[in-house]
Amino acid sequence: MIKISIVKREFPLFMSISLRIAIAILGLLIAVTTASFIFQQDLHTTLSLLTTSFLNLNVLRYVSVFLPTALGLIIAYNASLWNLGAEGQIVVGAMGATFIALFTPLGNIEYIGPATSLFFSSIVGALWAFIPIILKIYFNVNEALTTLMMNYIAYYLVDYLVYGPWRGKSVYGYPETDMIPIPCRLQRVVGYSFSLYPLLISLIFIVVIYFFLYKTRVGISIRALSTSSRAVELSGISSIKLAILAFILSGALAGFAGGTEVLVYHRKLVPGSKIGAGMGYISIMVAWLSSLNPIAAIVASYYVSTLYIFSLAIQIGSINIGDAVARIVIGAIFLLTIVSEFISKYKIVLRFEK
Amino acid sequence: MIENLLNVFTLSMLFMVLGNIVIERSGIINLTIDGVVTLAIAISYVLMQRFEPILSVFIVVLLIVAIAFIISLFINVLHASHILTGLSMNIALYGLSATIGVALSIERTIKQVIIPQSYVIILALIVTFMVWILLYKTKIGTFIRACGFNPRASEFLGIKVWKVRTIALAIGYTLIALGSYIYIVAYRGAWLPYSGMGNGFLALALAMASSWHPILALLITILFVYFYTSIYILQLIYGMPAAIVNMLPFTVSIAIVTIIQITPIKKKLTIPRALGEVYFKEERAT
Amino acid sequence: MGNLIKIVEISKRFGDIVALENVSLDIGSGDIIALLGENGSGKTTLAKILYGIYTPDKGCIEINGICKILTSPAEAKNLGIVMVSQRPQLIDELTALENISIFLNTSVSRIHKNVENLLHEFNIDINVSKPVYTLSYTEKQYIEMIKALLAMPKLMIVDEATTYLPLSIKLKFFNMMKKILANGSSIIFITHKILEALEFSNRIIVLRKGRVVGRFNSDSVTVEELRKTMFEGFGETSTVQVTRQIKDVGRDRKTVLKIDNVSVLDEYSRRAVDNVSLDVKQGEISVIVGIAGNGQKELCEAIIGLRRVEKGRILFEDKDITKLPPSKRIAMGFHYIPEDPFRDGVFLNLTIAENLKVFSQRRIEKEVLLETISKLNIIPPNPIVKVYKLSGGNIQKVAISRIFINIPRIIIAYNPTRMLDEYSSKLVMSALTRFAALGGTALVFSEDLDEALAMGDKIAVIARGKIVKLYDQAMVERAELEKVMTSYD
Repeated sequence: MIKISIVKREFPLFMSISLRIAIAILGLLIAVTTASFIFQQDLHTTLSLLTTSFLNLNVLRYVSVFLPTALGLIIAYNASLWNLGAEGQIVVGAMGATFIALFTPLGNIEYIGPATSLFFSSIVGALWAFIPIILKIYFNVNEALTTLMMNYIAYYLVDYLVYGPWRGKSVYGYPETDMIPIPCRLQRVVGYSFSLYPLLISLIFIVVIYFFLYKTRVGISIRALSTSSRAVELSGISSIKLAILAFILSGALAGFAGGTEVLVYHRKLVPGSKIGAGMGYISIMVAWLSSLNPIAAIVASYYVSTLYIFSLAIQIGSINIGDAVARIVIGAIFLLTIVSEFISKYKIVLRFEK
Repeated sequence: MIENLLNVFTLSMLFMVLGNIVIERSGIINLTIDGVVTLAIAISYVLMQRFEPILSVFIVVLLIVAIAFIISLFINVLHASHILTGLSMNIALYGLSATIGVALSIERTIKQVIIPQSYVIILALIVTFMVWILLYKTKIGTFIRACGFNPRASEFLGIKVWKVRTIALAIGYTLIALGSYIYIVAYRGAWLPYSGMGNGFLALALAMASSWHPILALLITILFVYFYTSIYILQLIYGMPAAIVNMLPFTVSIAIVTIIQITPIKKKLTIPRALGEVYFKEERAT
Repeated sequence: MGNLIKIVEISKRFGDIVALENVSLDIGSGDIIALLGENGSGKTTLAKILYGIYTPDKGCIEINGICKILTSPAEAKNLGIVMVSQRPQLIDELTALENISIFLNTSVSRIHKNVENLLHEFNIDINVSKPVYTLSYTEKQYIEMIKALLAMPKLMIVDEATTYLPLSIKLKFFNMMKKILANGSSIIFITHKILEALEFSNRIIVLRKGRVVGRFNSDSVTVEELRKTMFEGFGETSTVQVTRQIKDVGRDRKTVLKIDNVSVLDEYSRRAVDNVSLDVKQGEISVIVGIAGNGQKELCEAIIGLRRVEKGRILFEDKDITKLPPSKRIAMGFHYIPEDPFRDGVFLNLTIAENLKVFSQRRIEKEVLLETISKLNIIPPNPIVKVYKLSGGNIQKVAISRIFINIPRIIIAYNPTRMLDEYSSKLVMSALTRFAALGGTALVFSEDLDEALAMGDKIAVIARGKIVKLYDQAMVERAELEKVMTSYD
């Protein structure tokens, strides 16, 4: 009889990275072949479409959202805190930015307007994350489930605002606010839909967060939380304060991403599901694709953003199908990543009984 | 009055909640439910355009159970994080549901199956009772709960945790598939891409709110849907904004779950302690 | 008297760590084989392989001439192998009967009678229809033994289940175990205590670093021989001396930690600690000794701050710390040595440098880091190595480095040498005794009388949540302690 068992294994670092890259390339191949098949194009055309997608600077529009959000999630996940609420935090962040832009005099001041809006959007995002972590710490309520629920609450909160009190005066009944004043908008790179400033800030975030997580006592302790929160507490650091810090930082970063969406892309507030558009959930996977490393996050964000642009480029005919197929492909790629995790952490042992 | 108290929507939610309870009692956080429900709804819709109800039910259950086995593969064999598996599969399944629904549709609406009110009540009671018996009076049910309490001790006691969890997934997703079928065929009747998205998470919330106990789940689901539909009426009468109404299921779920943690009821109800824990048999103590 | 089961050339590694290397053993009918070795020698790994929890890389278990590789306890159980572990492996939320019925793959009604009969036979009084969490540690172990007996096994593995029990209870367990010998079954008895091995077995197999280094008959081997086989070549051990200073009993010492009428609830809201008062004095090691499950865990957690105090106060240097969280207490100079340093004392996924950085209350310079590593002789002395790659002893060194980086005012320890090998045990005990000799204060919770007697200047016995007797080390005999510990069970 053959006996199968699964044991842990030790994978050298360079092999893990190669495996990840291999899966990433495999993912692209799947994307290309699926697209070709569904939309009946030949492989060559689809492949060139993929290449142009890689080089299409509009990729950076998605990177502006995925990168900061994923960075925040990387902090939380390094502490084994399951923040699944990035979607909602992005949405309320957008709400916060709109508030400053449209309903305070600051919205009309250059530089200060957008800066305050982004700052405020981070605060609101942080507050949105504060509730679930408090519930977890003091009532032991599973944060994965509460953050999920709060995503829906965020959607409907923003819906309420854009259908109701914040509905624009000049939008002919559409569920959206007025456009934000021009001084508050962040200037897009000519011809594209992204802005340099949030991107630069995100790059700075990468460095800061890397330094924080790997060189400071507080940051290292946050990472230590995933191994043993008790041992952290017993080293003289409040594990409660650390957990709250990690969670609100991730909320703040997601909120920041939401703010940039308003200041750069939409330039107004639209219904919740349009602001978030599932990007919060995708950011979760970007964080995991980066193996929870802040520096790898830039690569992972770019990769996933390319897939997004590609999926838009291949859509002909029914929009629904194109979007749906993109989801299948992206979901499949994430599942493949899970498989690659397995390969690098475990091995299958076959033993034969005599 | 009774129609409001226990209608077909309640029944479909009940099936989903009970199915989720069976799965989560074995220790698996079932985030995949939303994707599966959305897919099952699309598949049911497409099948009902071609086949008779009985055959459609049979096929959709078969297909969903196949997906349950795939989920089991990820969680029990690949030892993947329950949460990541759930989120990844959701994305893929959402996409699959829209693709199948749009590509294989022949017509916009389907012939609805009307379930008489008395049948609804009887079905609700029967399925609740059956799940209760399964979990608390049968051997496999005890094994399922044991895995949710303490997978390591369960293994020591001779339970094959991976096998029991796979069975829990199969049974649970059968119920979930049935609930999805009822939703589209007996309740909604029409379909748009991504119809039903969010119902799975709602079932997740209700299962959690009922501390994963079938009888409590029946009560909470009934109360909840009643509250929800009554509010819609209030909204029509008093003009409460739709968005606020939509928020209620989720705010109320969070509230219920938090309250339960504080009240003394918590001591009487045992919950699957090991929910979400990635169980690896050869984990060294050191 | 044929061979029942043969262990044939079993090898097992975990990553880079070799747990077992080419272990072979013939188990004959009616044998009681003691598997003797210190912590980390591979005894538990071998037991888990026999019970199907681990799969061996090489080798197999030969049963009735057929070479088998067990991949689950269910399989082992069907082949007649059962195991009783050091910690009871029962589902707390279910009743004892339900646990037993799961194990025996039958219904509660069918085995109820047999369970009651066995309880009666051995004069044990337990309510088997209540959830297991209501039972004490000893009661849970009785249930483990009963379920093992009812399975009518060919081989019973007992993994240090009796090592920390007082003699009278130990003997009861031995009697229960002997019951299966009548049918020609065998026992593998795992321990790291030489005396226990000699007392109970007819054959002794000594393991060291995963290999079999000695096979003896119990009636023809001496303690010294066994000791030499267990530790031979361990030059390091002899360089670490543990000397407990004879303390000046009469001297009036300052009370550093005052436990004042403290009561603590457990997770099931039952009173685990019942009105306990104790003064822990400076320059002394006070030991609270007792059988597991008598409230020590809850009391220790309350003192550290990990558990709420229901009633009473805890005073540290005359300051009321009852409501302070653990981090504040640590900052005040509390220091905790946990039972499981691998889980609670270090961060396995972080590097040595990162671990030390977290431990250190003040900013730590690179020189201090490297100095600490070399002072403790951590191998490899590379600060960017992740701790899980180190050997067990070196991991322990990282865990204990806290004492040297910070300056503790009081050390609280819970079963500090329980999971450690001989060398590391000596390291910890010598650190504690030296600390006390220099004027430090220590409070140790121990389930091991040997540990307690080796270190304690004052020994308090805890039973059913109360401190029942307090002794000066010089004035008490081991037998007396055992008697007190068991008289309340």
